[in-house]
Amino acid sequence: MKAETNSHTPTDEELVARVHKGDISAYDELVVRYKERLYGVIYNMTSNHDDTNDLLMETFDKAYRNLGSFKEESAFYTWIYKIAVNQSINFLKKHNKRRKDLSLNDIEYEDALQAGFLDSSDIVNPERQAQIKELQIKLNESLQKLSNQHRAVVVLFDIEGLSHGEIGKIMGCSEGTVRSRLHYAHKQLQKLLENYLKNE
Amino acid sequence: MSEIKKRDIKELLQLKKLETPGKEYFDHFLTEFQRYQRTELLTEATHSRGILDRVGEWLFPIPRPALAWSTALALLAILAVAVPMNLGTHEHETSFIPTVVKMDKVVNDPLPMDHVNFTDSTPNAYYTDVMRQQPELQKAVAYSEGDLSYPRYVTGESSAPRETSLAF
Repeated sequence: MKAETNSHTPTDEELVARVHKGDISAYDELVVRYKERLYGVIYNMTSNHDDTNDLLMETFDKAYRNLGSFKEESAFYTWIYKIAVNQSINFLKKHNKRRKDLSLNDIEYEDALQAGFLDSSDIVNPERQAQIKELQIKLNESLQKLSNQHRAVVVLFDIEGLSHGEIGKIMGCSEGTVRSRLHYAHKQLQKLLENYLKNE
Repeated sequence: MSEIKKRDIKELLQLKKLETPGKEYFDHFLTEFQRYQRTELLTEATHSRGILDRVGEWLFPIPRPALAWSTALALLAILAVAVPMNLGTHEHETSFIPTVVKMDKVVNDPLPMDHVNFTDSTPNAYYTDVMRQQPELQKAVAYSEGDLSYPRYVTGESSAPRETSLAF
């Protein structure tokens, strides 16, 4: 997850140090580096593109304002992920509504083909594309039925691919709690999505 | 209609990775973010100024020119009261209240006419006679008419020196 360390690509910590010294453009590099990953976290928490856009701006803005208090005891990416997750959870608590107003991004069918969700013959098949769309909506609705904490664990583990330990640091809980939440969330999703799942 | 291949939950969640806003969104994100930060700074500055203005209005609900006038008038009123009080204190040290009392007494008390020897019937003659018969009044009258530069405590016929240690 850490940025590669070589002579051409500065690490996150080096960029942070440059920002501390007054090189504001170093923060732009951090924004470019994390925009897509943080977008994914927030979008999968909210299932709404417009809210995600606002929250992503707020996350980077908040991180920039608080960069002075960032201690290098933790990695920059866990720190900024933590801000993104907390921003999303606070937003969802504040609005306190069952997220029925989904504003979903389109699925890239080329990517869906590569990921094996579509066959090459399906890519121009409107019926199959409609099925994928239906699955997408059902998947998002099911995720929104999870609690914020459970959804965050699923998003960080299953979609973003972080480890239990990293999620524990971001969520401020133990690895055991992360595993327990993940187990419970998977069971709930299996119930909600049983029509789309293999029988185990 | 063929169904989508069934998967396990982890595989199914991978579909979420395919939901993206598109390359264009991310290409412009940095510019949009910089614009957002500038707007935020501007909004914060406006809000801070707005808060200061509101606090100012709450503390001083009167418009500023009116406030300046009323402050000036209040200051003048305070000066008008304070300065005479200061002068009054000073005046009190040097004033000659017994004179006034004695003059009042002179004016209000009827003179024992039988002891007065009138040499002339005019008012001036009457006054001169009174002064001649009561010489202690001469200095009091002189002071009240401004002939003396500073007051004297009059006890009987001779004036006493001014006791500065008793001044208050």
